[in-house]
Amino acid sequence: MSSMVEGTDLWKIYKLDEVEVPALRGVTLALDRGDFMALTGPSGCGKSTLLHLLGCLDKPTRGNVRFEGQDVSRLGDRKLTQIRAEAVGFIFQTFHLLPALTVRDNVVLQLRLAGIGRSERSRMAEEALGTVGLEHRLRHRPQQLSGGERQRVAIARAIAKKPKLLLADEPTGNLDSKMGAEVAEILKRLHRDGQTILMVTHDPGLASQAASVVKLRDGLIDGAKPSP
Amino acid sequence: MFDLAWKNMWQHKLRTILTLIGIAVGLELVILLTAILDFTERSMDDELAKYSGAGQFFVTSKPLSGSSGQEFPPINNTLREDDADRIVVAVRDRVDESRTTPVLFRELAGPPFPNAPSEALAVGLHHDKVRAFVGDEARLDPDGYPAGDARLEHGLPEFSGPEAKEVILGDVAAGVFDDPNVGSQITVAGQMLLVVGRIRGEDEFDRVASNPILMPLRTAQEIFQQPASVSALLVTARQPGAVSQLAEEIRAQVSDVAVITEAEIAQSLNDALGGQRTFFNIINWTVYAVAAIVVAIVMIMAVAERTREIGTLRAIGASQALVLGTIVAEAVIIGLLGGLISIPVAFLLDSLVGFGLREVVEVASLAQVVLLATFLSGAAAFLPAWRATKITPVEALRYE
Repeated sequence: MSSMVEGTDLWKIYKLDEVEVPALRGVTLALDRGDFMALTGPSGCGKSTLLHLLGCLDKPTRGNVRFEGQDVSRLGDRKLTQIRAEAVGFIFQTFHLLPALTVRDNVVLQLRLAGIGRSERSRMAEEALGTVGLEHRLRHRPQQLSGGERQRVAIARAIAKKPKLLLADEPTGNLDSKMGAEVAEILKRLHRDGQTILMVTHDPGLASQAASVVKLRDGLIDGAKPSP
Repeated sequence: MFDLAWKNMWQHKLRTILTLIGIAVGLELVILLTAILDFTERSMDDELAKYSGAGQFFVTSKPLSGSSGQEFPPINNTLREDDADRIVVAVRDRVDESRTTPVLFRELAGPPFPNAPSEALAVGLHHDKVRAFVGDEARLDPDGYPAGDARLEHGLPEFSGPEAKEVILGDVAAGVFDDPNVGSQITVAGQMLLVVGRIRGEDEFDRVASNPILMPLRTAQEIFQQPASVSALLVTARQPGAVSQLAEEIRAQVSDVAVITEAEIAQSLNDALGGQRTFFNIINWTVYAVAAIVVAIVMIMAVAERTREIGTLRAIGASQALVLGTIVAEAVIIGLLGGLISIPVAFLLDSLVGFGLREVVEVASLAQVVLLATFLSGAAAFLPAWRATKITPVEALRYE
């Protein structure tokens, strides 16, 4: 299998006042098409930072990211935005739905940003919401839903455009175990259908659902040494 | 982007409504002030055109030294009546005597706002020269006559004689006396006077025919205790184009008089209006500035409040242009709605104070208020919107 996304010698250093804090210290990681990988590790080990770099949300301080073979590490904001809009789906721990929009409109907006034609948007949004069992909640607003339902809306938003890469950052972190299990089940189903997924989680149970698990520690893949 | 902006506004209904009310109340003041200015300018233009077209001018005493200019109409000037007669004799062959008359002015009710005409201006003139003062466009005011009154079929009313205790009322002046009908009596300076006619101007901007209380000169001199003197001599040139030449001749022949021609009237009116225009414009632009600042504050708050949402939008693929456009669009909608709402608010307030906004306001002025509010509102949101585009998705998603 060819790599969907590949990070090579990724460094990310944050500056807090005058102090440099390395979040990643030379991580090299590749995610193949159709893969379902879990990134685990203690808080502050750099999981989310790595996810953001591979999802074109941020740029590495050093190293490079190749997305479908294209080096995206030095692309400008417009190109990165376009890649995120068209090819990457995001699921966040705290859902990040837009409260001014209905469930359906949250999904439709994502489709609009992805460049899907007006006539297709409603159908695709309803199909995605049907996939996560929320076809009866189309006109509700996020604040009228339970946590589990909100996360399912976020999943529907992420998958509606049929992204090449689905990124999930602690997708069950704000849910109870029952809701978390439902979300895990949806992710497994998406993987079975061929979706490439990279997931950050603290939860060993959820991580075990993934096809592969990569453990990070102190900005490095566990056991690796920092690059010079 | 307008649909998203609209939904964001709807999401924060209370804030949106309060902002709209604040802007509408401010703009309502702009509408009223602009209408007053429009009204004043148009009525002054009408007055100027009337004197210009008729070839008329005033001769009166010179302003006191140190005075800033010639007052118009020359209410507070004094000219000896025999001097007025001498002037007429001197230029008799070039003036239309049927429309040349000494006039005595007395203000009985002041203007409702600065630079507006007096609401009731007593005007004493030769009893058979009403047209000389009110012009050809003046007509009978049907409000002052019983329905179907035969007198409405005739021309302007006349006084019965040079010492008749009679008045002809302009429609605005009549309002000051509780709208007396023709045949009623009113009291002016303690003297009972019979209303023999009610007139009005061509339109609501005709301040010359709407505001006078016309009476024979002798009657005016008697009741205002000013025998043998007048305020000015109203002169009508036989040839309207020869006014300047005639004015120069009078200046040369009679010392110690001022000739107020169209040019001086225009100067006087513009001087008077200049201060008002500046003052009103300062208020108007202050209101616009406050409205823009309110919008800017609201949008800064909105951006701060929605940092995570903006980060989410950016994360899922919204361009910087879309973020900027959505926030500016929200401000544009607020400005547009605020401007539109201010119009009925202005009319509502006007119905309480009775200025008569509906009659005098110009559609172009209303459109200008709405468009300026919309533009300034959008411009005020530009800075917060631009700052919003600088929000990085990763930082915004961490923002609590």
